[in-house]
Amino acid sequence: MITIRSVEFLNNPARFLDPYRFKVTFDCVAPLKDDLEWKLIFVSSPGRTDLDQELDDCLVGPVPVGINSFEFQGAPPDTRTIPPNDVLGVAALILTGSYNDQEFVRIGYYQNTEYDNPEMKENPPASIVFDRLTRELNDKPRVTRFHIKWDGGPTALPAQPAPAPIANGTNVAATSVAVPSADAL
Amino acid sequence: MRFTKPAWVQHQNEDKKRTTICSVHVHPDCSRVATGGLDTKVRIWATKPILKPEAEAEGRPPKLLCTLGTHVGPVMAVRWTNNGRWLASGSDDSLVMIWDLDPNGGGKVWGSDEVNVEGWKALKRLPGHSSDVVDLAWHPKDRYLASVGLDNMVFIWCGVTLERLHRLEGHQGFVKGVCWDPVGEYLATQSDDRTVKVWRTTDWSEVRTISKPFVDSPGSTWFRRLSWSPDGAHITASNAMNAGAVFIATVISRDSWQSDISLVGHENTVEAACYNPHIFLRETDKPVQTNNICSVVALGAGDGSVSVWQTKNPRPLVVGKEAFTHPILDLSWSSDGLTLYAVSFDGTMAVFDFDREELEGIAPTSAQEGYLKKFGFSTPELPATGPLVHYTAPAANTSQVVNQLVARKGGKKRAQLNGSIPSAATNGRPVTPTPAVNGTMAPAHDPFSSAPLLMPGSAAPDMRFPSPSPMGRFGASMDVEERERKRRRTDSDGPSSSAFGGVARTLGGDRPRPVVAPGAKREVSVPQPPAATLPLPKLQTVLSISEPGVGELEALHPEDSSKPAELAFMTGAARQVHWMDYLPSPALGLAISKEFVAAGMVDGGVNVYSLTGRRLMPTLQLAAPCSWIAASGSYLLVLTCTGMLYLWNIVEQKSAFAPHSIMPVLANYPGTTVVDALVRDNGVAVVNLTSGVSLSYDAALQVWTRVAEPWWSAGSAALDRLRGPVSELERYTAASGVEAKGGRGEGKWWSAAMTLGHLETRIHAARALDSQLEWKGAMMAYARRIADEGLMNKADELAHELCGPIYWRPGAEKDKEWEPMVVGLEKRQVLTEVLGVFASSQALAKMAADWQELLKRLTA
Repeated sequence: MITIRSVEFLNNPARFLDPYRFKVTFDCVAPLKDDLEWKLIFVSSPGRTDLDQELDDCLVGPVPVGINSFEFQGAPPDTRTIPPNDVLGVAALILTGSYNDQEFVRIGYYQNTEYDNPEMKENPPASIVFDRLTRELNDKPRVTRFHIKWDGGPTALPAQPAPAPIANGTNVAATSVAVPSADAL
Repeated sequence: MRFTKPAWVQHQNEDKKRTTICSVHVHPDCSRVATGGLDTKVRIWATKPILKPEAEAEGRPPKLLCTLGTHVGPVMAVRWTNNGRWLASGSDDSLVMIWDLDPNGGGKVWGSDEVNVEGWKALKRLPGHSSDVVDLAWHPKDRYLASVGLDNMVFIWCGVTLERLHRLEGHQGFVKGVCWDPVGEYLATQSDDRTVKVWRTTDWSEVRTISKPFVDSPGSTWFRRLSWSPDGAHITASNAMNAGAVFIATVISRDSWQSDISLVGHENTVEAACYNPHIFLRETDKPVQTNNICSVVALGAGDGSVSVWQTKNPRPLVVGKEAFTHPILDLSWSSDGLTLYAVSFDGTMAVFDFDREELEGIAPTSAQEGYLKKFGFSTPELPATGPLVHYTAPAANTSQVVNQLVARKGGKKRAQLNGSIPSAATNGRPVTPTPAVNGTMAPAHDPFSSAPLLMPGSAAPDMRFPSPSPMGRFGASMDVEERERKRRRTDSDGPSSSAFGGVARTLGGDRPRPVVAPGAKREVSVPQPPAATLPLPKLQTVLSISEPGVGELEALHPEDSSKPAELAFMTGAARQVHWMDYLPSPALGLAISKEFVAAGMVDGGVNVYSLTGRRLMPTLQLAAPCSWIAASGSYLLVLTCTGMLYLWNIVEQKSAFAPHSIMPVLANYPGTTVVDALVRDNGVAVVNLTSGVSLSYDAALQVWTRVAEPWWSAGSAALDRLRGPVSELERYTAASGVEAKGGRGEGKWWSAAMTLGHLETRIHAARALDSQLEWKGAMMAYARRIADEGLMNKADELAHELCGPIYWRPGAEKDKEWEPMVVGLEKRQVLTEVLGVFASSQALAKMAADWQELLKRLTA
């Protein structure tokens, strides 16, 4: 139903405390009754899901058929919730897409966090100085798609199925282009 | 004929390993071929690099043109429209997708390393099936698309608007194959309910249900793909059985719907049949008329071989015997009729590329068009007035138009109270697509005036290799057919005196066996006992079973029921009778091993004979006739139709365990029955269920154990198997096509837990079945996985188990507490190898070193 075409970072790399700014472009093959919900989750400590932070969540809709895009901004993580040992180095950022409370896609990025100068990189201060941190998201997402129920599933057929009337030139078939031979590619 | 197997045509699982290709279809212009994989992807490949080594070397056109990853379940069928504009795909995710060329598409695929040379985009998603879609077929003029699946349904979709038009109900089981009559008058579907149904396309009523050739056909195949001949005269249906468990494809005649022709020879079920799209002439100088027409049909089977038949010959033109290591799942002929593509469970594609001279009598496409006119059938015209109300697709050429949407702040509670930085894009504006680029608008310009037009087929003629290679690679004969003929010949010769020259007088040894042609085997009706709950085998006029190196046991049931049933034991190719006996009641099942033979009778009696024909024990009287009887080594297994399982050691004349009923266990799997019951040399009984579960009765635990089940398929990565009894069961489970119940888990532990669980089960199963090779293989894979995951506790416990008590010394008296051997291997020797694996893991290196040290001291 929904196929992600791209997710662009509008600020990457960025300061650790900057908001995350994304542009998501996706295909939709049939109109959707309800909105799509997108969530941004920050994973600081892989073993402790209770420390995962939901940074932001937004609704997009109604979604027309075709290619759609939207921009999305999420707050940076709450520094108080991150265990000090887990601030530097690799963390994960997850963007999820849901429809009617069913997650249909989960996109994970690795985030690398480090100090913005060589001195502090070499000798990190005992307590973390958050406004000297930078983050960079790896642009290789890990994408997991899920099979969900979109609008109400199969609808009952009419008892006496009436053939859909078709005007010449406006049917689906007529919008397709001819397919050239692949030998010439 | 040239045979090619392009190694680079593959679908890959998560570990980047080659995985099953379920479907293949060549584009009508012959220049590209689509495949559907177990990896949920559809791939489109250029055919030129497959067929021409020069193009392959040059890399032009690119080999892989496009990967489509929208499905979330294995792609079971891919089919191009006859005009070549669209591709339809059907998947386990219950969807049919229609793909359309996007001239502006292509490029790097987001979220993967793949680059699409050619852009194909989802034009429409066709929801409707409530379970897996298994096969698809476009109407010969693309007027309709038919889809079939595991919801037992057949759906008919409009080929123009892609609206759903009809749902055809009637099949009582999974529908696994569909094809159209080239005339357009009928549609045929084939199902696990062991029928082929023919539907009339004018009112979608059921014309005929054909069940006779499929009565014994196993329900364990992936597919039952069938095909209609290009002259409209025949349907060739897959997965049929002749009496006596011979796997065949059956040829059904149009209008009479009788099936008198069998294509015999495959050693396992036929998964797919596919007619060459061209009409063939028997005599090329004679006109195109019914008595001068024949056709060419290809079969792909579970035995991994492909056969190509020309209907004027009783033997196949070509047999590709070792083309694949696993079942063939789909076949496709190019529209020029010269190239056959086949794909397999083993994840490979093979191509048979014929020269025109090798396909004698091939007629041009126009011959078919002209010939089909004689049927006088025309497909109903499309209703051509009024607006298209249901669907407005974005035109292909507008794909660069992007609707800008606005994100609104979600209504849900925030997980964290870190609201000091507000989201910039959360100002609550209503979301409206930018009107000027609304996706429902008409295309900006006429696609036909701007797109380059290259007609389908223009590339076809130059696709042949210059150098012909000999046909010799495959024998042009089919084994069983051959054997059958030899046998008949021997029979009709009668026993010659020389054949008996050196043989002492035996009971019945001078008696010629009556000649029974395979076609003459008939079923004899048996009253089903009222208590029967498992299916009883059909009683047949001839029943026979053979064991290589031992002989053949045959039961004959005269049609005149006043005459007694005869049992005979024969050896050698000449089928010399060694002994015979008469039975008080007809035999339902026979069993043979190197030690003895047995016959299970309709009256519940079981006779057990030595190989010289002496009764080894009195006739055993069971409470009910046997549904299954099997022998191996000294063991005889019987599963009665009331579900009682008996197992005897015939040599020791003892029961292996008290008779035990399978019915209470079967009640846990509603709608399930037994498909097979067998016994191993070591006396382990295994019962396979239709749900894909294999059960073994463990006499020590006095309980049924699951030795293979579909559950592991949902998450286990341990799918590589060695050859052996456990893998046979697992292959059976996979072939049952039953999906794991309980859904798929997620998270990082899912795969690890499932894989370890699977391997643990496999280790137990291999021990139960006494399969040393598989036990060792599973144990080492298990150790490797534990090492990869760094699971200290499991590693330590496994080491303890294999080491046993430290006071034990080799040669010590047999300890009641500990058994130093398993499946013929020394546990401590295995431990040494396991520790070697652990030592390579960072997490376990220390532990492994400690154990190695200990083991060294113990053996010193």
